[in-house]
Amino acid sequence: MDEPTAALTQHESEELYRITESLRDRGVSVIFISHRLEDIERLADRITVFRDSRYIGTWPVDEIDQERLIVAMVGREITQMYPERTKSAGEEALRVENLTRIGYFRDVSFTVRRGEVLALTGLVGAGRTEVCEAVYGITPYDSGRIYLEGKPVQWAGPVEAQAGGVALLPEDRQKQGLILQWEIGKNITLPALKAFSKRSWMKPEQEAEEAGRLATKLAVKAPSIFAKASTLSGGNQQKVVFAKLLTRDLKVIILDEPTKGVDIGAKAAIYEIIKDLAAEGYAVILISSEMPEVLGMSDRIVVMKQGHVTAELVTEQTTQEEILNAAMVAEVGHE
Amino acid sequence: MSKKPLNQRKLLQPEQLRELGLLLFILVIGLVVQLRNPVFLSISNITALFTNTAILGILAVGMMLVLVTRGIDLSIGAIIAFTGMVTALTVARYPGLPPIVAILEGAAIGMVFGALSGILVARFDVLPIIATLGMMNIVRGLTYVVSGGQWVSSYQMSDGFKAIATGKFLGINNLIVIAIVIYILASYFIRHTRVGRRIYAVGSNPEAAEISGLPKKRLIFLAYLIMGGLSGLAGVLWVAKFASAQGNTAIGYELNVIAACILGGVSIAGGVGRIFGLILGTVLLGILNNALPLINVSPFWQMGIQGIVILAAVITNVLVRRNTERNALRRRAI
Repeated sequence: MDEPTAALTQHESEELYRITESLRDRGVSVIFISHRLEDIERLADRITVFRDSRYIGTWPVDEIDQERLIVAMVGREITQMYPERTKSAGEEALRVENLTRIGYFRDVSFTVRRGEVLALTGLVGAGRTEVCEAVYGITPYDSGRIYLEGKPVQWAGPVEAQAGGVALLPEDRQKQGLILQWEIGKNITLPALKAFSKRSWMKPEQEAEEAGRLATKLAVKAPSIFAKASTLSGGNQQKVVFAKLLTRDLKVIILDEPTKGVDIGAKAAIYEIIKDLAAEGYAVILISSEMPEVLGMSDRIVVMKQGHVTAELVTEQTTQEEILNAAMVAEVGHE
Repeated sequence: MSKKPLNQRKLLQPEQLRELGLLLFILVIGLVVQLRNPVFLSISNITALFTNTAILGILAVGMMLVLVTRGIDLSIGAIIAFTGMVTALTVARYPGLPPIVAILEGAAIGMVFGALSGILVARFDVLPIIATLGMMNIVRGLTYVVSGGQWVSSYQMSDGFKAIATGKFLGINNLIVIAIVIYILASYFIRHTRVGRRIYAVGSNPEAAEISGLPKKRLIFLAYLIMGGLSGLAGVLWVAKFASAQGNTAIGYELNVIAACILGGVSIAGGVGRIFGLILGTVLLGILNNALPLINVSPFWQMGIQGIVILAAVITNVLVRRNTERNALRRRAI
């Protein structure tokens, strides 16, 4: 099984674990490829680690602890998965009021401030992505209001949303984030070509300089900015998508599952980037299904279930149980 | 992380490798034909070859842009016929009309049709092959309507008009000069302008381009608009060259143009296509048209041979790409 739990919710994963176990009990040998430590803990008897296309080692699961396992996977020690963040929430950046798209989400309201990380969580299919796509102008909404810095806005599409200062890091970096067959540098500058051209003529030196600066800033591991995006690992591709966001003058950044399918080392690097973005004054909306990530990275949490907001919590004062309760059990709506 | 500076480019891109192969192929064909018939490389034959290929080459530029956006335009043969017919009728009515006005008239009418296709594809999400198939029939029908089924013949056209295609500029036939100018403009447009870059982005990954904030619909519309304008221009050149406008002018010619693009390495799947490759593809098709009769290949075989060459080029394309991808993976040093 190749990363079978990558797209599953916790609940669905549990179901898969049970199926896998019953297969095992019937005498089937199972090779389970995963980068999720929960899968390993829950399921595995022995674990084999590969890194950079090399065999690192094999251990019985109960003989290796989590820290040693991470060292084997990443090649170095990750002392702290989630970086220390200094709270710096400023004035209101984006406010969404009673946003409704019939059949997808209803009466969704939330606010995100400058320098703040707002987690938008819930089960897959709860409507989180749909809300953010509506805010970003990809899909229409039926009613409700969006305010940017207190002023009502209505964007007809991503072009206007970007001009207004909102950017989206899409969920699927290969299909929606990158042009894989293009050079890294050209990918990075794509949203901001205006800044690298004069009266419609491209300025290649300026462009390469800025792309190089951003690639270095985000520590993209690549032979050069002229290497094709397709040659990068998942985590480094994601860093390139982050670099694309930073070419624009932005106020609000929406991140849709930014650590989906990347290894632990790249995950820590992405958390570092998110921390820096918030510290630089961007308002960050983090869509995530991973509880540790939500609890580790956000200032506040908005939980959605079946298209409704079921809870708005302050991260420091909440627990995983409370979030899961809002995501799975809470009563929804009244119609 | 490597200590090398992040801004060093590799010397030879895989696309260039492929074009080198195409160039070699052209040279080999040229050599073989030359050995069989020494007329081939005479000045007059070379001039004829390029004059006959110029219109194909002009159209291929527009078609490449459309193909790059993942589209296709089947209406260009009909647009050539219509614009050719309308300008011929205009010239027949007003013999004193300056040739440049005739050219502008043709291009403008072509742009109107291109804009219609562009609106259908970009605004109403009609599949390009269907939208332009519809346009093809409409425009072809209109051609018969405006001409009443009649031809406009050589004696009805002024010498000034016919000189568009027969005249010379600096000793080079006008058609070739126009094609060269268009290739230079297109090359700059694609490589050095913002809009050119964006058109390629939309063709390479429409969804990512849209999320990156590119005006996808406007860019696709623009590709069809340019294609329409070039078709209109080609219509005027065609009628001036053959000194005859007919209802069935250039029927099926869109397929020759698409063939030239494919030979030149333009991908039907979008996002890929280079001017230099396009030149080679057009020239190769032109050579096949010119040289096969010279070495007494029967006309029945000529079409078959063209088809085989196109298929061979596409298969080589796939093999080259597979090989370069494998090499790229090897270089990842794993």
